[in-house]
Amino acid sequence: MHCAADEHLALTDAQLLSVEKPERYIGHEVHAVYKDAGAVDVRYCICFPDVYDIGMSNLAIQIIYGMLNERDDVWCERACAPWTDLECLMRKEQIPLFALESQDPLREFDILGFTLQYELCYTNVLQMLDLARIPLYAKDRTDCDPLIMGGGPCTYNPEPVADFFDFFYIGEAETGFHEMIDLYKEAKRDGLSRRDFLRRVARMPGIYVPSLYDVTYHEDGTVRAVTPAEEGIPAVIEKELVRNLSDCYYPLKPVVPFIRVAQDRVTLEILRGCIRGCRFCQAGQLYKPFRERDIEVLIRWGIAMLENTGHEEITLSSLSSSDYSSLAELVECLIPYCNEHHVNISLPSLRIDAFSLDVMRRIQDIKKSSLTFAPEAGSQRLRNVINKGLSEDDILRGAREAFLGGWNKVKLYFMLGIPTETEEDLAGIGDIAGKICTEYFDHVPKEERGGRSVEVTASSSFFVPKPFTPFQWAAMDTREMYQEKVRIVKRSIASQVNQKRIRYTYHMSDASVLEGVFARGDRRLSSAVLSAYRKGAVYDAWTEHFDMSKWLSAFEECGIDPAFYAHRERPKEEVFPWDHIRCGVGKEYLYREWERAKRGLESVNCHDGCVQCGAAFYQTGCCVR
Amino acid sequence: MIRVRIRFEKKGPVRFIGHLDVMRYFQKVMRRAKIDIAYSEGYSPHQLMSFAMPLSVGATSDAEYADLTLRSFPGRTMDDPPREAPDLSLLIARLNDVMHEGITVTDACVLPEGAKKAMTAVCACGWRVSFRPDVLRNEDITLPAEGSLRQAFLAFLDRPSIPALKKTKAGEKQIDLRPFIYEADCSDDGVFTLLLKAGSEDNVKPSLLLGAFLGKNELPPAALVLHRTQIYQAHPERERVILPLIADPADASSLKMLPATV
Repeated sequence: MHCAADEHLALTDAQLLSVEKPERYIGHEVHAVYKDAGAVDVRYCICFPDVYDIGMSNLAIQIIYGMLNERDDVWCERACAPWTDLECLMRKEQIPLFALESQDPLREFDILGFTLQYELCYTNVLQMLDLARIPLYAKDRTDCDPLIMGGGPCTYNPEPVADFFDFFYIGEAETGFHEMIDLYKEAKRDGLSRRDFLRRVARMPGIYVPSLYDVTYHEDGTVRAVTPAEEGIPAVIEKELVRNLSDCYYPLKPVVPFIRVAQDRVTLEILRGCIRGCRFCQAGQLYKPFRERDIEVLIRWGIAMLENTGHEEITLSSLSSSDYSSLAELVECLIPYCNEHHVNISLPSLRIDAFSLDVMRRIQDIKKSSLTFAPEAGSQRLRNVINKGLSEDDILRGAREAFLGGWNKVKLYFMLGIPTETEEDLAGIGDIAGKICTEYFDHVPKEERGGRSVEVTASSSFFVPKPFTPFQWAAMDTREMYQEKVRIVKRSIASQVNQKRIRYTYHMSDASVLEGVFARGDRRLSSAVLSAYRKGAVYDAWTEHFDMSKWLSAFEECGIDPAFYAHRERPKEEVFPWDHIRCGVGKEYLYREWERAKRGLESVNCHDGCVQCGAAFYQTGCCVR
Repeated sequence: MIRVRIRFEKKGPVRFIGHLDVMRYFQKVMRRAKIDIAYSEGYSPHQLMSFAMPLSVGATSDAEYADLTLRSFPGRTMDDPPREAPDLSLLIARLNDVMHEGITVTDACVLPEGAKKAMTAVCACGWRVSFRPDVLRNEDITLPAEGSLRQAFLAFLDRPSIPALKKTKAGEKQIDLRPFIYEADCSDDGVFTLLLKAGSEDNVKPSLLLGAFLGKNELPPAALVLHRTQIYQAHPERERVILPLIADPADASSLKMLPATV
């Protein structure tokens, strides 16, 4: 076990004792890595623009952390956004933001790598840079400042934060990170200027240096073109992708936090990508093609990770676990070990059918667990629009089998604001919840209910059109439209015979609208992010901190009309701010799907046929089967 | 089943880990070390493990204790006849191999049949404490002038009664701390050495006693540098004699006599 020779902490005991959960800021967790800062060539810090509890639940952070620390020439550390109590203290007492391991100020690092998991974390990026005393705009940084890099799902359209970053790494870290670090090491040795390093790294696959691209606009405000500003800079940036998942780095000794974080368990990623072509889902497109890990590798890794961490739960993670070809066998092989060691297996994102119910019955406590269905839309017509590939019959049969198997709690996830949605589609939400209740009362005799009854929870979120999906051309609903839709759903639930057994929850719409602005935003939004931050916007993903009025006044101040980004349907020929970035699926394919969506036509999934999406470019996974 | 008590230190940055997280930490340690710990019966089985006393966040300790119920010992199976004493050093080594620096198991013993849980056996704690003057200043609390601290403290202890307002679950209650102070002294450089009553009843925290000394209620956690030196239980046979939660009752050097007033 690594030892920290120096027990120095950036905060005094009195400071640590004055904030909530001081364990967030002291490092020293099991499998945290300590090295001699003077003995490495590159000091890298993974920065997570949200609180530690969320950051330490993130698989990408564990992968990059473990992978970089395998190298003797790099010390990779971590930093998360300080919670608001500490932020306040740091400003008052002028304490610069520090990394968890060395507790050194972030300014002393070579590279700060931010992971951008969701759009509402953008003000926290500024909060962290600001507290670290690093100029917020990339153009204001000098050779003395660390390089600010971004990665993660939001970097497929990084334009709204492009002005704050020196470069982005687009795609999966396992393939190109080492090369990028090598290049930096060389540049540092040769005394290259910041600008010259960026010119060099911009030629690497998967790297996007926004300052080396010019954006021009049409008079109507839409993008005319994004073009390289210099000779030799690639016009298009292709995402990086792992070809063989069974033969790439995986963090078998992940950091084990002391506090209970959001994901307090072993995460075993069984596959990447998705065969389903759900038209609302960005992840499904970004991570194509579908690639599985070998079952032998997964069993070995899963058990090694449980032994190394001592976690009491392992989750088999993926976008759609039911599509893993040897799922039954994998679970079968893990059950004996897990039973012997009192470890729970959790299987999120399962399709509910006889097989998955059988698996769940064996690994979970039925009485406590609830079953989750994600019909996403209330009517078959609308489910066809989103290409969900799930019929009402599938849902009712799944629910019936679950009730007969002893479950009585069902959760249903829906989205409101799907393109082409009508009042009838919305009313379908109440109907399907009602029909599920009826299945219970029809099939579970009173004497077998054990004093319990069916509990159905329907939750809805607001649909946000995302880049690289067939809905990237669609207009997003306004806040008023959402509110009206919520009323329709409420009415439809209230009209059910079994309405007392149905609970309805929904998220507020303002944050979703903001997410919609940034998802399809362009470079001009950077000024609004900064303006909102200056007005005190931070932790926008947290309901208790989110304040739309700060954003509205920031947009106004910057002359930005949020509706232009969120509520406008785009014509076919429009150039998108993210068109110079490629994730594999082509714009032509996405447009074909958008047209089919509007006509309510389903498309096949990658298992049953090929829709020529373009991901075959990567020549791997389900594309070469 | 074998009941085992372990003693561990808590030092360094891990002093900021709260009691519940220390418990979670030990549960994970048992798994990493492959200790054959017993689980409770029922719907959600949990490891049979209990801790003597919570330690405040930020405090360090030489001697924390936890009781474990094991199904078998490392290196032995359940079926081995319990002829000879199990090798506790193997258990300690196995735990320390996967333990975090800062938390170290320093001793262990097998508990005799019917022994009280550490949690119920606790009767006193030893402390080494000093003030954080900057925190006190922020709270507008003034310390006796430099050089007179010890004298002032001894004079305070000479009082026949030391009333204090103790916060309990039911509210606040007025108690007299004097009979619960078993030993107390203060060095010239301001380090207090205390032996105070502890346990489920009349538990006296250093922050309460030193708050009373400064004429205040309980001091905020940050006002003191807290270090627990030992946790004690009553001697099985002798009145007014206490000994650490792991100690040989026959070993006179580990025993402490309580004042006659107790």
